[in-house]
Parts: sequence; structure tokens; C-alpha cells
Amino acid sequence: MKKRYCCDEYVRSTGVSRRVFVRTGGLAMVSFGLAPRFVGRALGATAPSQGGKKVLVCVFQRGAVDGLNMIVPHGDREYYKVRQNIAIEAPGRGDNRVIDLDGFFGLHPSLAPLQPWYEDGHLAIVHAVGSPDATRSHFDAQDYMETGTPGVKNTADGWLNRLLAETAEGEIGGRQALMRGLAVTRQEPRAFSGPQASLAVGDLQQFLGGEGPPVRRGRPVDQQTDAANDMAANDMADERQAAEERRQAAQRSGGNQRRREALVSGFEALYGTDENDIVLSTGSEALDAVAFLKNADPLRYQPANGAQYPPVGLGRQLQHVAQLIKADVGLEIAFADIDGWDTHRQQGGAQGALANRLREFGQALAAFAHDLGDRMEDVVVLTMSEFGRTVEQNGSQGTDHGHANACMVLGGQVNGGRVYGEWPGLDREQRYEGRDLAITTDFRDVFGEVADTHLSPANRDALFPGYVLEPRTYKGLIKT
Amino acid sequence: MRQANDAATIAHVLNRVAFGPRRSDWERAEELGAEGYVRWQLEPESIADGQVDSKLDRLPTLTMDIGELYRDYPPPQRVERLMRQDEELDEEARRRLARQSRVPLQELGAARMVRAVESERQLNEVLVDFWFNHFNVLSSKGQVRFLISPYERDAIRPHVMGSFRRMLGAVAHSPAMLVYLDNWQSAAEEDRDVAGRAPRARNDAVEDAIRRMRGGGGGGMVNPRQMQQMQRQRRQQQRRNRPPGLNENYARELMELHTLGVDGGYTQNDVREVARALTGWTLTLGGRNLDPPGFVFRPDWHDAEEKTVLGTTLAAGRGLEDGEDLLDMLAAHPSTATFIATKLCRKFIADDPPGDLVDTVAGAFLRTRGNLRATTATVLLSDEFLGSEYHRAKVKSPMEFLTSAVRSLELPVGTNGQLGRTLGRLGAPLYGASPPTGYPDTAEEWTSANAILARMDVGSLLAMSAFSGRPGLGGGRRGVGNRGRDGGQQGQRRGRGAVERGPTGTVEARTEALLAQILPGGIGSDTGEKIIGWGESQDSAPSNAEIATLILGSPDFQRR
Repeated sequence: MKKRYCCDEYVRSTGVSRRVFVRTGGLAMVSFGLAPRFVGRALGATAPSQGGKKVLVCVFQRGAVDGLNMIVPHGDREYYKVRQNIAIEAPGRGDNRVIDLDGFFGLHPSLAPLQPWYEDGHLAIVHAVGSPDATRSHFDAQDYMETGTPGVKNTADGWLNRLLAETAEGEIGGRQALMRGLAVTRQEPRAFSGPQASLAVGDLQQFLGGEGPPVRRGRPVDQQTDAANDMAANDMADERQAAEERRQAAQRSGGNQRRREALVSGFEALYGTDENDIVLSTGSEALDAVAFLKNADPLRYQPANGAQYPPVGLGRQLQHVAQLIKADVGLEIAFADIDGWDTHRQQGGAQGALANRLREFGQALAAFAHDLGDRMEDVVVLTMSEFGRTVEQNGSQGTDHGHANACMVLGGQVNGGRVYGEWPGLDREQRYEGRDLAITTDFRDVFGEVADTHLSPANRDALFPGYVLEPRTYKGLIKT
Repeated sequence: MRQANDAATIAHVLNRVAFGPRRSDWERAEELGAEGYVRWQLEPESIADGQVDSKLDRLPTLTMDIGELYRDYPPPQRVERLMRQDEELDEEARRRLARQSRVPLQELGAARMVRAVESERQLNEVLVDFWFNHFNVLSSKGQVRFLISPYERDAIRPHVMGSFRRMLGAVAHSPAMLVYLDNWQSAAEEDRDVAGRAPRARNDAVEDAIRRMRGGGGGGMVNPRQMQQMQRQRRQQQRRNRPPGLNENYARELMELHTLGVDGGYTQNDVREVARALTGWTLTLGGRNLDPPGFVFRPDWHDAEEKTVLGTTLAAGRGLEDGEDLLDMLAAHPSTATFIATKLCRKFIADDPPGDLVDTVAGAFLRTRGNLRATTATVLLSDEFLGSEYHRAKVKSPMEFLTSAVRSLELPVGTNGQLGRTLGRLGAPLYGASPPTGYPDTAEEWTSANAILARMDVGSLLAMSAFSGRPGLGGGRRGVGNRGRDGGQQGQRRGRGAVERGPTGTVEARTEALLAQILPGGIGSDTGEKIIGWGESQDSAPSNAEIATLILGSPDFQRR
């Protein structure tokens, strides 16, 4: 799947960065990866922040999560008829059943950590959401969802980039713009591509010159367990080796702080900002970002309220986002993603491949919300996936590419505790093309409403070219 | 195409036809001229590659077939089964075998890097990278990692200068692709007529018993009722193994990514019909992980009713030929020609290649019936190919960055796979592209802040390896092939105070020498002046490794 980035605003950094940068030897080069020498903890990474800045966090479930097993329509009898082997048992006594939400819909049991947020009215769900375009290609559908222009492939910019433009207050340039939007993904997400500065930092610790997390990438859900363990061991071995290389390299460089600083200044000389050259401008952003992030010292961060993030993947990504929100670096829009949803075979039911993936997903979101505590009043998390999966299970006890899906909206100001959206029904004649959940809510209406009510863009109609948002039809997902 | 051999043209040609300039290729290209070098590279069969061949001799799994690999490097599940059968196998042996099972993938990765950096057949290796990526499979999906070495060797390599249709067919028949895109699990829907009865499955206890009965001998012990019962059991087992329906995954990607392209004019209905046409293309033993999987066509899984694909009818009552006709149709389709031509032009010319050239290349593809040598030649011998507006117009992929750095530094590549593992840190693990699209081939996909920082980082390791006389990434931590240019003297050069290699003299002289080595052909930027200015402002003169680190991490080196 494609992955891209976002950015963060360094509002108050004016004039500090270069000096701090050189002084801290801030280059992220892993081979110089001594523990970062942090200076200037002024930005209060560990102190409770004053808050005030609204933040939107987008989480993309790449690979098309099976929305019908994530938010289960247990009240629709057809569900149990056509998913003999993979349906989640209706709510009742005991574990491994649907966690009922409203008598008709329920959460997959792996999403139990999210139940309290729903009960407290901070988690809303919109079901039967999707793109009016019929594509069942992951790649097209992700692009359409990220550009916000279903069916139009040549849209140059992403919807979050346009949102950044519409929420920018006055002239923001250079490093101030840098941290407004930030993706904790290895590559810039399409949603962020465009003229507004944005940044992909991948793993934050690695980005700042430390060691990365245990590697675990691109793991498909249907992988054999033995092979998975074996691969994980392999990755760990690679990672240990990489750490050893870094240690040796650091030794080789003699631990010579001055030499590192010298190289940093050399790269600074080579990477002047040039808006017209993607390599130069990205390199320049990268060097600035390292300096600023080091100054903000997010790595000294401890999650609050006993929040327990899954140590890798989305958990780690969201922990970075929480760190940066609390560090008040100026983050407005964050983007994270999690893959492994393309469950064509053996997806399992209450347990199994999809259940494991959902568990990680739910734990990560719940930890994020716990961690931010009161700060969640300023934060909205919006989840999305490019399309849903077939209503019926396929020949391999999995599901194929479908149409509508479900979104979650989580935050302190969310009108939660409800499942929004008109339910189209699962009977064959109610389905899209006889096979998939039909769409009753255009994804742009959900994204648009959340963005409009939470971040107040100057011109809401700029968000989705060719599509007009109608505030009077908003579902009321966010308190206004 | 001009017979140019000016430095800028040579650099351009080697950046595109090869994995970047290397001294020996530079000399050869200067001698032959741009066109001569391209024509020479278009005939890899006639290029001797003895040094690489002898290095690859250290990697025995490269030539093994799937059966040999499963025998000598069994997957963990197979080991578990063996343990249950053989009590001699203890825990220690199990662990050893599990470790062993990684060897084929490691050796394949090592071989890919050795070839990319050191092979004389550079264009061939560039094309292997391109076509593997086009027909991407992910090593960590299911059993793919045990199947991937034969996949690259048999389905991709033999065809990169050959017939597209044959490559397409080899891929479609390959266990790796059947597993990666799930087609091995696709069968006719319940209510469809199928093409025939189940083939006799080897190693099937019931089959054996039935055969014994029919063959007389010991079979006389079994009476007709028992025989009926066995046959019933066999049918039940076959039904159990048979997936109850279609899996569209391969059918869709076959059209979207392998042939027509997403705008190639197919519909969801076509996807379904293609999936039906390909039912029964599966693996021996239903791919149950224990024995080496091989391609098999199962008529009892094949939907034998009529299908219509892209307006063409595939008649009812047929078998394997449905799929073969389908592949013929897709390979010869004009959308496929345009899709392949666009991708090749994007690879060799620019992210947004000139439309006229794409049309010309697509025409060559159609005219030659998908002859990939002729199609590739049409790109590389075009006037556009040498156009100065395309010099350094491409941002290097991680693979291109790493191999070009190693080549420019003349670092030898070991056979322990360490260099390939560096690709993970650069954001593109070898055999680790998860989606069937493979890795992207446009600048914005490879230009992110952390990607550029990782390049600076890896560049510094390579530069130290090349100039400070200490072990680094070019060779390998185990010292395999890590002798550097001074061969056995490596040991004396370890540790502090090692003699620095490379040019001597002032910062200016050394910077210019290193630029000429790492970025030959001129770069049209002030990178040299900036490095010299920087170096001269330092309290103590920077080392060659540091200067080279800056060059490898410079904006200029990120382009090709």
C-alpha cells in the first residue's frame, strides 16, 4: 500500500533552529546514532500542555478492512446466513461474541478496549460509508479516498493538503509550516501531497537518530503462524544487526560530536530550500525537522494515565502523535496507517487473523485516547479504509473486495455513543451489485463534516473539488 | 540515436541502462559510444560474466528446484510434521532446520545484490529488477519465501529479453504467484459444471489402497464393499479440500497490474469471468504446506461453463485452455501494450514520459507480439532516451541509490546478504514490497524526509567502508568478499589510525577527485563548491570518508 506523510507546525521556533540544530548535532543519521543530546526542554514535552490547538488524526486501514466484522450488524439476519464460518456470534453471555452497541450493531470482541469510549459518548460510528466510485482496486480506491475525488485520478493534491491550506492562519512559511501536518509513516501519504508543506517522519525515534522499533512490515494477515514467528525472529535478527552496525559506526566516528556537527553543517549547505526541486525541499525539510523535533524532545515522553500502546505499528505511530500533540510543536493534522486487512482467505471470526489485527487497532486507539486524557477535548480521530468487503464469505473463508465500510470518529467533542448512517440492509437485492454493502453516506460527507466542524476551514468547498458540503445535512458528529 | 561518448551522455546511459557508473562500465561505454553500449547490453547472452558466476557458486540454493529446496531447507511446518514422524529429530534439530529454512531467501537476496552491483549484464539486471517488481510477490506471504527463488530464476529471469506472453504464462503457473494472489484457492462455484474428475493424487493413502485393490495382489484382501467405502471417503476428502468458490484476487491484479492496466477497459464482470476461467489453476496437494507445491490443473475445480471476457467468448466444456487463451488475449491486447510501454518509459526516461514515445514503444510491443528485447530497444535507442532534458530527471529508488553508491565506490559485495538488508533501512526491503503493485517508480514516492536522512546515513557507512579501511556495508560483517581493493591487507587496516584511502591533497583537490569518481560526467550544480567551501571552513580538514558522505548524501546523487 502507499504510504505518505504529514506535517507539524513549529510555531515558536523562529530563529532558534539552526543554532540549536548545530549545537545538538541534530542530524538523524543513524550511523551517528548516539543517544540524542537533548537541549532546551522548554517546549514541555513531559509537562501537561495548555492545549487549545485543535488536532485531527486520520488513521487509514489500508487493504480494506472487513467493516461487517469490525462493526457487526448482528441485528441483520442475513449476516449470519451468508457468513457461516466467519460471522461473530450475536451478543449474549460469554466471550467471543459481538459487543452490542445499540441492539443492532456491535463491536468485534477484539475492539473491547473501545467500548468504554462509546459508552461515554466519545466514540461515534458511521456505517455504510464509502466512495460512489465502483472501483475495487485497493490502489485506486486509496487514491480516491486520499485525494477526495472519487473517479478522478489526475487530482494533484490530497484532501488533507487542501485542508491545511484552508486552516492556515496568515502567512505561514518555512519551518513554521513544517509541523502543521505530519505523517508518522515512511512515505508521504497521498492525502498530504500538494503545495502545503508536510512531513513524513516514519518512526520518530529512528528519525531523531535513535534506534527504531522492532521491524515488522508488510505482514499479510493470512500468514502461517510458524512462518510469521520465524520471519519476526529474522527481522529481530536484522534489527539487532542494524543496531550493532550503528553502534560500531558510532564508535568508528569516534563518538566525535564535532565531526557530526561538521557533517550536519555540510548537509545544511547542500540542501538549501528550493520549492521547485522535490529532493532539495524535502531534504531541507528533513534537516529542519530533525532540529525542531529534537528541541521538542519528544523521546523523553512517558504515556500518561497508564496508557499501554502496542509497541509496534499503529500503537507506536499513535504514541508519536500523542507525544507531538503534548509537546505543542504545532501539530494540526496527523496521519497514521495500519495495513494487513486484505483478508481474502481464512480471516477467522471472533478469533483469527482479522481478530488479531482488530485487537491491535483497538488497543492502539484506546491507548491514544487514554494517554491524551483531557487533551482529547481538542482531538478528533477519524478512521477510514478504501472500501469494504463482500457481504458473503468467499470460497477461502475470507472476503473479497467490496464497497461500503464503516468509519469511527473518536474525541472529547464527538457526539458519540451512536451508530450513524442509514442501514441499507444485507439482503441480496439490497446490496450493491448484488454482492456488497451499499453506500448510504459518501465518505466526503463524513470527512468533510469532521474537518469543517472541528478545524473550521476558511472555505469548506475547497476540500473536495466538485463536491459541495451541505452543513444542514451534517449528522452532528461533532459538538458545535 | 547519436554515437555520443561525451561524459554527460555516458553518465546518463550508465544511470539508466546500468545501476549507475562503475569504472569498468564507464570505460566500456566510452569505447563503444552510447548506442554501442546499449546494443551490447541488449544482448546479455553474449556478455561473459564469469566473476559473478563464480561468486554465485557459493550459493547452492540458487539452482535448486522447489523439491530440492523443500528437502534440504524445509519450511517450519514441514519440520513439525517430520518431527512427529521421526522421533530422532529433537528440539535442537528442529531449531537448526528452522534456521536453515531461511537460507534460500537469504541467498537469493545476496545474489540479487551481487548481480546488480557486479554483473557485466547490467541492463539484464535492471530489467530483472523492473520485471520482478511488475510481477511482484511478497516473500513473507504464506509459503512464498520458500518458492521465491525458483520464481525469480524460472518465471522472471529467462524472459526479460524474451516474450512477454511467456513471462506472463510462467508467472501464472508459478507456485509463488498462485500463493501470493490466492488463485490456488479458487474453484468453480458449487452449482457450476466442472471440467472433469479429480486427478489421481499421489501420496494419498486412499488412492494407494484403491490402486492396490485394482492391481490385484494384496488387493484381494479388500472386498467390494470396502472398496466402495474407500471411494466414498476419497470423494469426501476431495470435496473437503475443494474451496467452495471463486477467489478474484489474482484475476483482478492480472488485468489491473500485469497486463491491461487499471484503465485498460475491463469491468467487474470481466474480473469475475477471468477468475472463472482460471479456476483449477492450483497447486499439488491443495498446497497444504507439507510437501513441495507444484502447479497442477484440476479439472474438478475448473468451471467448465461458458465465459465471456472482454467481449470474447470462451466456449463451454474446456479446461486448461481457458486460462491459456485468456493469457493470449491479455498479452496481445492494445491496453497491455500501452501499459507496459508507459511503465518502461517511466523507468528509463522520466516519471511523466513523452506520449509520442509511449505510443511508439506500444506499437513495437504489438508489432513484435510482446518481444521484450525489441520493445526495450525501442525505448533505449530512441532519440528521447538521450535527451539532455532527461539527464538526472529520475529520483533513484532505494535499490538504485544503494547499488549506484556501491558501484561508484568500487566496493565488493559479499555473499552474506548484508548489503540487501540495508534496503529495508532505505524503505524498500528486498522481496518485501507488500502490495501487488510492487514498489513505485516516481520521485514523490521516494522523497520523504526520513528517506533522505536514511540515504545520508547509509551513504556515510559506505563512505567509511570505502575510504577508512574499516569493515562496512559494502562487503559484509563476516568478511566474505570484504577484502576491499587491498585484498588481504584488511586486517592491518582495522582500528584507529588506519590509513585513509583515496585521493590526497587539498580539500579542493580531494573533493574534485571524489566528485569525479562518485558523480562522473559533471553535475551542473554547485555541489562541489559548497563542499569545498564547507571543508575549507572546518578547523581540521575533513577526511575523504566525510567528503564522500556529503557527495553520496547530496541532492545530485539522489538523481539518475
